[in-house]
Amino acid sequence: MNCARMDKRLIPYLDGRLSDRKRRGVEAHLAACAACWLRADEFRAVAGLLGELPQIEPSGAFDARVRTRVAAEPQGQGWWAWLMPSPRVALAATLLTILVVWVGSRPTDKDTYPHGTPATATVQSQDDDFQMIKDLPVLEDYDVLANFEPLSSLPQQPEQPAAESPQM
Amino acid sequence: MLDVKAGDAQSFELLLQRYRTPLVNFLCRMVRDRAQAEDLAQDVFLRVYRARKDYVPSAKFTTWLFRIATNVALNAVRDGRYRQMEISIDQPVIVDAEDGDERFLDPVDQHPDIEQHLVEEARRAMIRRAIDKLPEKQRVAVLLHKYQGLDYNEIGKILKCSESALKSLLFRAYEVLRVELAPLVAQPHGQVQKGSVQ
Repeated sequence: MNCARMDKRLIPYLDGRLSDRKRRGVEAHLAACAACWLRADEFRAVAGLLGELPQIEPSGAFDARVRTRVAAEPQGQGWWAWLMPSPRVALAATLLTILVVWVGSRPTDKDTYPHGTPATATVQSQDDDFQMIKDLPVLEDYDVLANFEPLSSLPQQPEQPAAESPQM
Repeated sequence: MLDVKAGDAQSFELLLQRYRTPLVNFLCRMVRDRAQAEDLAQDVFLRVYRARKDYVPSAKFTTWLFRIATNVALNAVRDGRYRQMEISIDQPVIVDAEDGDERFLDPVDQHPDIEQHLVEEARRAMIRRAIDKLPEKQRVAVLLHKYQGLDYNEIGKILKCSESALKSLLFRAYEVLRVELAPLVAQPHGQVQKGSVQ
């Protein structure tokens, strides 16, 4: 035992809370070290001085004030508290309710697309695209002939009535 | 406390009766103002009441209670809301040991023992000032150890330190007190208790 180890052993020693082996070690050190012996003696004196402070009793109104404040506390047992024993359950239920309301309030296909659903429109659009691609060479030929300059200088023939056009 | 948790109002009343005096004393020695200490003690009881549903008996109730009280006291001290009451030796007060009330000395109270009263009050004022000079953590440790009789394990949990660290903390606190109270230690008043420092 040395002086450095007394910082963790002196208070328990003075409190009588050391094991026999440690207590004998401290006592052997105190017998050999005048500084630690004096310190131990003065610690006891300090403890005695601390004991001189009188105990304070709470005022007569203290209990009544505590009771009043406790009585003013919400009891937390309303119907909502009974219904929702846990904040997590309450949160989950709220989210579920919002989800159900949102899904229920979404417009139906009939309301939004009175002439067909988006799926039908998509199929129709794909058919038009296919037809255009299939006729693309003919359209290109028509475009070339329509803009061919030598042809534009030729006199325009009056349009034949549809009934007189030769039948293919 | 488990009965309080179960909603037994009478058990809360028992807690109030059992711990009101230790709590007010602890808080009064922390903030040095009796009226504010009572306000803070009410806050502590209210927090206990509010937290009753979440109370888990993993530690002693006193450990839980004084942990709340320590937090409340340290917050109050750090906020500086509670003025430290300085007791001037030039303006002596008499402390009535019966109820702890402090009042200014009135000339009509003077009696043959007044000198003895003044000497005793000067000693107490010096002891209070010495405790006030301790760093917060050391002060809490000394108050819980000396006046509340809590064991090292409990105080360690309240201050969130190991038992070993707490013993060192108490040692350093007593070293400070030894220096601050040197005049009284050198001239002990009456019979100084021998034995335990608790």
